[in-house]
Amino acid sequence: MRRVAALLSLVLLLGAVPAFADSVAETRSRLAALKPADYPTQPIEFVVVYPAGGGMDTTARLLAKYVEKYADHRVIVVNKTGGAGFIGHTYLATQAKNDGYTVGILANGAWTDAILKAKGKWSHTNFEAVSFVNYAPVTWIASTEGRFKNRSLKDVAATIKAEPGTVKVAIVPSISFEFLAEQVETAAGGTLVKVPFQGGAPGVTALLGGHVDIATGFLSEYRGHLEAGKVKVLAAAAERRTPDMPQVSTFNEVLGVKNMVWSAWRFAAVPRGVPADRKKYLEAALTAALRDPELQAEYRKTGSIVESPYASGAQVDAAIDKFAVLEREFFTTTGRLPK
Amino acid sequence: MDVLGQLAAGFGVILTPANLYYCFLGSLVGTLVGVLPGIGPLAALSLLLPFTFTLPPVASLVMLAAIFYGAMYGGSTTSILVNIPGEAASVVTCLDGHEMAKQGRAGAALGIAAIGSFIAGTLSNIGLTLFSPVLVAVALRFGPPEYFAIMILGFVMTLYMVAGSALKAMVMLALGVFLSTVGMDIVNGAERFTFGSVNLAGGFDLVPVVMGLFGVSEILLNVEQFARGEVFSRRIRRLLPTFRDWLDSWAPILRGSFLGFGLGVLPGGGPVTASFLSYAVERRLSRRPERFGHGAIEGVAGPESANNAAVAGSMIPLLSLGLPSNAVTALLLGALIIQGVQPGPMLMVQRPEIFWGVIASLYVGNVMLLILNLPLIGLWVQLLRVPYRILFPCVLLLTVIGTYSVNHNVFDVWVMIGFGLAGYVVRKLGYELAPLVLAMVLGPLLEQALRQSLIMSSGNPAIFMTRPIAATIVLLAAALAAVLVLRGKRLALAAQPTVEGSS
Amino acid sequence: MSRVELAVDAFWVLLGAAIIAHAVQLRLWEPSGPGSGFVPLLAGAVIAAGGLGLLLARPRPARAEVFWAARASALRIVAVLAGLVTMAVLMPVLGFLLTAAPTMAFLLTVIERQRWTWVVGMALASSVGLYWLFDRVLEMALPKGPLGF
Repeated sequence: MRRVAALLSLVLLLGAVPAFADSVAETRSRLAALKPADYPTQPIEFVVVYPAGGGMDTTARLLAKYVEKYADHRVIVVNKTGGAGFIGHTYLATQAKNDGYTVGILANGAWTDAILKAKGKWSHTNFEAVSFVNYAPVTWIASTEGRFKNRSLKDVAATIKAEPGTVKVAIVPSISFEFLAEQVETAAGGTLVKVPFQGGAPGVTALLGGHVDIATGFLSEYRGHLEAGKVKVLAAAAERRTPDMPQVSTFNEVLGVKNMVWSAWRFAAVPRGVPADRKKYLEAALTAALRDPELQAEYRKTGSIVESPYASGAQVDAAIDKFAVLEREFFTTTGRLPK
Repeated sequence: MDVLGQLAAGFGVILTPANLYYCFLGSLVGTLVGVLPGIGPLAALSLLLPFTFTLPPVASLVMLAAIFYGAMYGGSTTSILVNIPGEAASVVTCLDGHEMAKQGRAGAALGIAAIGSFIAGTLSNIGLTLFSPVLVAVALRFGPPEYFAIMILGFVMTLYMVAGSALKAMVMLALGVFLSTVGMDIVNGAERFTFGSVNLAGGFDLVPVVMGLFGVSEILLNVEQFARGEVFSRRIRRLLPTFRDWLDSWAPILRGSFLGFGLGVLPGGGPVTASFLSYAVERRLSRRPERFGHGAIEGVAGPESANNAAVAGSMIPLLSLGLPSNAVTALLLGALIIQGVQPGPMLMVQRPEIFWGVIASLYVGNVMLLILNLPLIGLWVQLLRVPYRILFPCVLLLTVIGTYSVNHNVFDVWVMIGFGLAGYVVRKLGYELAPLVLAMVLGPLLEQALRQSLIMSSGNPAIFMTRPIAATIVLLAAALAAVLVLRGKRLALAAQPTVEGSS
Repeated sequence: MSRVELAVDAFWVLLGAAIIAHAVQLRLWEPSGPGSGFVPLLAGAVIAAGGLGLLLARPRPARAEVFWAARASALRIVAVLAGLVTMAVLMPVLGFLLTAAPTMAFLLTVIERQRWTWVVGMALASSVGLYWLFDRVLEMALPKGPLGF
């Protein structure tokens, strides 16, 4: 018995079963082995293209904190904001140095901006992904006292068809919230009254006040009201049901389509051309942080899903290519882009 | 439910050495950062946010909340001393606060700002403690049409605060609205007035504009005028408000408290609007409105009370609905979520120690800030003894840093320079810039509420008259506007070319 | 009437007209209510009308006042603006410190001449101090130059 234990600990020490053996000290030393001699000598900047305090900002700041836990240097978060993220995206794609000191903590907006706004000056391939971070699906919620209190998404779709132009849904213009509403209109065969808000939370408040019938948002924006029984989730715009809301159906399964997949899909990326050893080191540092159970727990608390299906930055790049193709298709069919 | 018992429990949470320490630290940092021009509560909070990650939730929130209202206390300091607002909510404080300083009454102005803030903060905390649930229910009844009505009322009230030419004020208001429309259309994402520029696509941020219009232009005016010597030729008189000041101030402080608290509860209002409206109300109610703009202490007491009351008011939608009503509370929301605290109706039930702890900390923080700020007045006033030739380059450098740090974009520095020059020219011609700032804040809210309302009603404007709250406010605004028009002729004709800046 | 005032009033009229011209190219009205151009159109109209009003309503006794009291003051204004413009131009290239220190030195001599040792000392102290406070202590990431600061 004792010998087995000794053998086991030897195996653990050698790192043959790293999934179980990752103590902080070991991860640190493995990371230190990957560290290039001349990098990093100054703080690494995590660039967030949205304002401080928002979902992206908290994601990045938590990540920075845990990267510092494993890597022995400062990581600071810089909010390069403006133009709903476009200024920061353009900066990262065209101006930021590819020396590995600038890392963008990005989301869908990075490729949506590339498709819709960059006018060919840059594309999502100007970034190279370092790591997937987490994601949260876009959802529809209804008030438990309002018009759709005892209804499902199917009923809502039927109402949209039967009484077009009467169902008020809170959206945020020009992002997934609006795109999803348009897809529902198409699928249901009717029209919605799309009331524009600046963000999910004001829409949720308008829902509680009875000013709209449905609100669009992420779990983090209404979790308090969900727990208080004031709102209920109608459906999630995810490929499959999510682990934190297994009872909630997806838009795809209810409406019998495949393309209603919208989320805040967050990843870390560097400007193209960062030296291979630096990028590899960054990948390892971020992966170490993202595997930390404490960070995962923090992300779950914010309503995000942390399980990563991607093993490397290259796989993340491939996933983004796929998303970009699908989205371009949606924009061409809805007339946002010329055919 | 026994509110007082729970509040007592909240005090139990707060009155530990560690939490008191963080409360004090937050108050101190907030005050100091609020004093720096261009670096308001938003910048202060985002800078110190990472530091709070390592603290327990209550300590972290206590500290962040203390930074927030500490910055509101500190923001008035530079307004009064050098006529450069520390942050947007202190813009109106410049109008009379700096005049007071020029008359050697900087101490009285700073004192009344601190004490007014304290009274307003404490009164609002009592409101927050006792009436939270009721106020949430009321706030929820405010949909887009009601917000539109409030914004209209805000614009009408602004016209009351104008001292100089009504025509010039109108131009400034419209200019503010126009500036707020530059960038992406908030409703459909269309680009407006951007001419293909990436930087303009984001529109004009408030900080570079305010720093340019007030900071840079003020320095230009002073550099031009003060060939040598100091800004303040007269000696500084007593440091504390006189009995006469108290008589003049107690009513504005109370009114400011109520106004600020009410506006704070409603999303979108916030400290900036509250301070402007308080000024307008005080000027309207004053028996001698001509004193405003020439060192009337009511013009400091009211707005400074209102902006602090608004801070406490904005805690209600934040804690009870999870709805941030401005950029600063959005940051507090982020901090809550990072701590794993989900604001909303369940917060009071699930985590009473946090809910009541934060509320208790607001009381404690206000006391601390008062104790901290009163002795600091002496120190700040000494700052006036620094020769202007040394002071102004430092202030200029600070405004550059503050402006740059908002978006980390040099374009904002250019915006600041441009508005600095423009502000210098129009101020010499007797234009008042405060209405422009308010219009820039209210403009997008007004436009959004208008368009949301009409989308909801399929284009039928009757929506503003069929909903009782909206209709009442619209009628009130119409009545106030009518009064203004009736008096308007007199006002427009009597408008003298003001001596401000050009004398 | 000062010529500057006249120019500013005329500028409002032109600016208002330009805003209106641009606003009408945006959609003014949509089936659901006001479009992108509606609010800017109103703002532009008020600016133009205000400017026109100011132009017309000024037969008051002219202020026999020169806009700049003295040539020296105008020069000081230009100097301060030049300092700011230098900051904006050079900061992205040279970084904060290399730009701020010389600019500070220059600005310190704008109002009156000082001893150069004092100016250099003060400029270095203030820019290094501010850099240390904001970049190092508060981690605000000020622009960096080729030397890494």
